[in-house]
Amino acid sequence: MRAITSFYNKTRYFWRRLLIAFLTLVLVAVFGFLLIKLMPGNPVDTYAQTLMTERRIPFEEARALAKQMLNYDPDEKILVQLGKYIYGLLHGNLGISMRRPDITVNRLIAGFLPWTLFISSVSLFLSFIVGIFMGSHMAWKRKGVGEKAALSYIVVSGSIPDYLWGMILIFVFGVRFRIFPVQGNYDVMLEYEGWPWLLNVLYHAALPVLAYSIVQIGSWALSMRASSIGVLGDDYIYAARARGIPERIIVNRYLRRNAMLPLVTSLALSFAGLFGGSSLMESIFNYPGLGQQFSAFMGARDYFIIQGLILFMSFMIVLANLVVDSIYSLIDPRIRRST
Amino acid sequence: MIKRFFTSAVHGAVRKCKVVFSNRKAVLGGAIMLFFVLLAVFGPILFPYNPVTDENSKYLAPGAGHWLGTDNLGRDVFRQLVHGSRDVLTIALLTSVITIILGTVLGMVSGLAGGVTDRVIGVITNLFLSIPSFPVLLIFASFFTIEDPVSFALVLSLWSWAGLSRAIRAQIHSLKERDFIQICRVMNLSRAHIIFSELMPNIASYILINFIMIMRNAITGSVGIMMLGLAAFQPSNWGAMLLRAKDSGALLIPEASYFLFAPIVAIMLFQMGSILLAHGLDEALNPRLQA
Amino acid sequence: MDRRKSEKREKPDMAERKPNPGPPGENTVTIKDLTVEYKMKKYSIRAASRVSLDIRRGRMTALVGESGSGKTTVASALLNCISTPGEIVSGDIIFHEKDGSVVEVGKLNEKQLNAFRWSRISMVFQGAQSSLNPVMTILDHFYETMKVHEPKTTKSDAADRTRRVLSVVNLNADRIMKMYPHELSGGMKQRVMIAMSLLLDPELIILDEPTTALDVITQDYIFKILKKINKETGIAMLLLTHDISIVAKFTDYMAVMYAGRVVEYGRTADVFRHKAHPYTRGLIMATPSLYGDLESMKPIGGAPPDLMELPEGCVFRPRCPYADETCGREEPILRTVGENHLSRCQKEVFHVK
Repeated sequence: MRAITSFYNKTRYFWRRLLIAFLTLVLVAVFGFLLIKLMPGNPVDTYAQTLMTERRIPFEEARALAKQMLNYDPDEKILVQLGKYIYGLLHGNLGISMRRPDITVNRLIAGFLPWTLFISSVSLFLSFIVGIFMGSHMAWKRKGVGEKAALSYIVVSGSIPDYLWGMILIFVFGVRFRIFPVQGNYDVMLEYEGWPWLLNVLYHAALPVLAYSIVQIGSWALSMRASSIGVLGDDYIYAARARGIPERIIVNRYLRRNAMLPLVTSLALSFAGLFGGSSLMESIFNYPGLGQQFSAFMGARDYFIIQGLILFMSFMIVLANLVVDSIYSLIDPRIRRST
Repeated sequence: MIKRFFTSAVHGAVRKCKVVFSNRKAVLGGAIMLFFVLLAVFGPILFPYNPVTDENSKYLAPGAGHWLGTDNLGRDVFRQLVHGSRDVLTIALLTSVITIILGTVLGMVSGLAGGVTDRVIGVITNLFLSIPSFPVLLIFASFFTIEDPVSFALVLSLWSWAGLSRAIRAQIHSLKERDFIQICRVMNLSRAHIIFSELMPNIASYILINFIMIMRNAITGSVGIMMLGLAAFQPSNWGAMLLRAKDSGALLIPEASYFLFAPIVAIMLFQMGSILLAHGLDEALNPRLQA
Repeated sequence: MDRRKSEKREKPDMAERKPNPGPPGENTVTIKDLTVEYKMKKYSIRAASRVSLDIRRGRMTALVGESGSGKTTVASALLNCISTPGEIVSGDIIFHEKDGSVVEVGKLNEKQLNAFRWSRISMVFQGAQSSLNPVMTILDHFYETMKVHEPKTTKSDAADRTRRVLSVVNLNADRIMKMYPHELSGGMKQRVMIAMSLLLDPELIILDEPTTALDVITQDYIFKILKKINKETGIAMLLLTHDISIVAKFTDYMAVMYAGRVVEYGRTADVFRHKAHPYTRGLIMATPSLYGDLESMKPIGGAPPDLMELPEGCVFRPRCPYADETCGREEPILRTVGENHLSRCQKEVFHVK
């Protein structure tokens, strides 16, 4: 019993976060539900029409079938509807297409999430690491030529939205010089395995990742610079110099490690931005990810797919927040032991 | 009370203006932004836009008649750009105003009130931060057919106040612990005094900088939505221009480069102005980064 | 022994404590005409102006002065570790090795300087509370320091050595070594810093206001430890402080600084007895004595000096009760007023025979 209590006390912080995360997701689900209610037109009738022509059944029968398949009945009381929806969610049913019964949100996620996750996480980590090094270097060598150049880069890169960088990259590397592919995730001619396939995937990912990273690196570098300037004023930097610790070690072990800690917390927010913005980037590169699917189904006004995808994206963001919190508590000893 | 806030604010503002005007970045950025504002206000009067298409004059190179050439339907690119700037800037400005009001009020209420109010606002903030903004913007923009800049701005700000609100709450929290606020409390000064004379001046520059950065994000967002072609669009909006350029294959047609790059450069210039102004203000008004 | 006796006397005038001088002439560091300026965009501030100072081997020397008097600047210069935008404009800092050879600290290149720092001169910092890297354990700090000075050090060597120096400051090494700085109390961190300053067996330890952030009882405890180290190891110490009672209690030599200048230097006992500079006189009088009546306590009038606008002639003139028009003519030089005793006051009255 005591062991359980102590375990609870040690992990209380985590459980609290988990509870908040869960509540947030419930609220998001309610939000998505209300969104459907607000949509113009009645999705059940629309779907019934489709079923009627497809299966050649009378409208009443089609409508009943539609209610069942969509797990949504506009004739019932609103709370019952909501209850049914949440019940469906808890059983892993995120939603089904209004147009084509064979498409479900679950299937879309299975097929397209990996690509979006691949592009956005590679961009995120690449730009985080480059930005960290760039920002700490800028702070360490202040007023130098390097800092001027880096600041100019940050201003220019930040002034063009990432999706427009995507277009510029396509124009330069895909059309003018034809160095990189500008479409899709890999050559369809290749077999779905082995090194050649993997290299081909990376080759196709190069431009989208670069487009994201160009902007992200600048913003990470800027935050890191500000954070590093703060750390440079701390006593332990001076103390390390007085101990004869070489510059290289001071930058790596003292400056960078301490200055990057507060930045780790913004990783989740940044991930949310990349993940949410994937609709644009993926449609520009015609990359088969979740974002591209999202805008495609949006164009088709497929409410239930949209609802399911929004919920799932929120789930990913909440998850990212949890992961980042755990990482943070691992790398900052002050959090690790005191809570 | 309010009057005193304004007199002291004016005095402070005059002093701060001097600091800001001595910062080269801020002056350059401000000049760029001023140029765009003037362009949006007077441009459409000086350079009226003629939306009539002319198949014979498509993809013309820049020249005396068409400063930036013509588009895929033979219309003047420069005049489209000028015409569209009004739409783009209105959306950006309105979004910024609404976001700042929402974010500041909610953040301050949350930070000052504490307790249940703080928790409730906290949960709402969390909710808005957890739902990805861009997809939601897409939903609103396309399903509810938003056509006028005001509703567009409303939708954009609905999903951008949360981060600001959270940051302001944190600032209020740290300010509350500072000595001068504590002294005010001990002296039993009114809440209005604390808010307007003590807290506001301290977060004013932060809000100003955020105002500019939100404008920048609003442009990124609104142009992006337009570019996906899912919003009911105003055809001269820069995003709509980009969409038409992309869809008409401007990436592949060398002559169409001007049509494609004109809006990109316009966006870049505006964003650059906003970044320079925000950084400059930050340098000038934020003592932490000086020396 | 003598010290304890003198404390027990009924009305101990601190100045009459039996002096405890070492053999003169044996310096571990000699500072000659050191001038340090902080260069800003539009102006520069002279934080140390032609400072000369002998730091005796094995003795505890105090550098006394109010904040802004330049003590920390002089201390940083000893390690050639002045933070930007400060720089040494002129002067020499000469370190005397035990074998008689000399090191000119200002002329070392970066690699030599890093080797010199901490192995010859180490330091206990004013902000000891925040002088440890929050993301490293205590042992890591010691191990790292040993490793950069002696690359062959193994972790177990480091642990052994760390255990030894931590025991000098009465800390339980096994418990502390694995801890992170935030897990220690202020006094413990300070003792860890002292232990770290001993790590490479230096010739001189600079103590920069080592106890300002601590409560009085811990203060006293730490000074007892320091004095013990000084006695037993013969490591010289340079104590930077504004607390005149600590100076009287623990140090052998003292230098008084004012506005970036040394205004008086001598054996602590001599300085307390003769008070050959009006500023020293003011400092000592301004300190309440536990036994003296409060009326004899006199604060120094006037405001602390503004380094941007120093007066002509003697810098202490505006606050000096003895000043007359002759003091404004030119800045007095540091002149000998007694055996091993220097003062920057031109008035003969203050000089010892």
